Amino acid sequence: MSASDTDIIQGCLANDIRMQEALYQKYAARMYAVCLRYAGNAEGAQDILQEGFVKVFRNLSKFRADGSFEGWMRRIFVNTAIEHHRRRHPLADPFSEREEQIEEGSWNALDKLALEDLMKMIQSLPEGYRTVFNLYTVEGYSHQEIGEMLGIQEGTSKSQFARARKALLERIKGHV
Amino acid sequence: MEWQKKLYEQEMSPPADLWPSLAKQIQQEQGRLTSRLQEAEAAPPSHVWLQIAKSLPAAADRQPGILRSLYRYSIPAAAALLGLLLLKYAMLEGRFFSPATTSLQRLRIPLRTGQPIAPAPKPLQEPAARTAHPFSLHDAKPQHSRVLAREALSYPGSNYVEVCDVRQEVCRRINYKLEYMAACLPAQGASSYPIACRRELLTWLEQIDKSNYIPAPGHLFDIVELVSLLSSE
Repeated sequence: MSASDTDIIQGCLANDIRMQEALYQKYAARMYAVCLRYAGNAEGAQDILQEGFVKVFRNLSKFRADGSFEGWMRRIFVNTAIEHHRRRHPLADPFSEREEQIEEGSWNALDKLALEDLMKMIQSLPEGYRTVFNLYTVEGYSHQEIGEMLGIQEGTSKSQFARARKALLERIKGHV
Repeated sequence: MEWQKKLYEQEMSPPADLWPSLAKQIQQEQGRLTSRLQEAEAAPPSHVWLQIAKSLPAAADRQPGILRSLYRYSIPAAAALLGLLLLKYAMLEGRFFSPATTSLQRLRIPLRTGQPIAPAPKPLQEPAARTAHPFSLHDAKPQHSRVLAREALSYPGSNYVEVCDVRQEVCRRINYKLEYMAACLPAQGASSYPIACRRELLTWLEQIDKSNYIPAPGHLFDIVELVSLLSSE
């Protein structure tokens, strides 16, 4: 029987290496998928995964058991991915663009794609598009929140998202 | 939509060799935190004073007694510099230093590392509001320390008593900053939080952290922990 999150957390707080590994084994695959979505390639994703887990262990005592542990972890990994993005663009704002309206495209086509193909398409998006797309559609942040997280205007987030969507739909057309 | 759910729940196996290196890193992190806490209690090695003197030739020439006294009382060099930077700020702002604020009584402030810092007799000027930005060290770049230290010590009336006061003021400011930061942390269940505010605080705390300023063991721990927290959230 696998240990519960509570047992694992308690063990990790006691610096029990077996419980640390249990935590890693339980969540690594799911968090690695998050990292891959943001990183665009396996090497970058592994860096984010490693750094994210270090932060998880370092801050485990801050976790309040009134929410989902996985949700708490996921937020750490998403923020780590954003930090990686910032490190690569310390000065320039890759998101800085005028807001533009792009007509609504159908998302339904994405349902027909295999998950692996969808993942590849997301990874192939330019980094700015990819980050906003992931934050908005998968993590569920609002454009205002994304603006605060990335240090960009809300309108820029909307614009980036519209462009990401357009680029994705074009890739799907090419794929079909 | 189905694809969003699939993406959210997706799992991908990371390389098998990632855990051993991660485990090693985690153990190193644990060891580092422990040793930093131990360092907070340990006396600095004897050669450190020579480095301080070397890095502060002008200040040491003018008033070596002050710096030696600071060192003798186990105040880390960086804390002294930080104190001097604050003294500079104080002079520029003309706020919390005036002849009236110095007294012989303050010479008795316990200064040894590890001892609790006595509360300031009376706050000289509290920041206007909790939400306002109380203090900034953004301009205090390390390369300016020597110049600022020299200027601070050349200020008429500058002496050991005042530097002690500055240190106490630093401590007070740090306490205030920690409170301020705690107030800025997201409330439970909040969906958004003041990123810009936390970024600014993180920068400030990192400066403090890197400076090895050690007001008290508990504070050091708080700072390390809070920097970690802010780095991750």
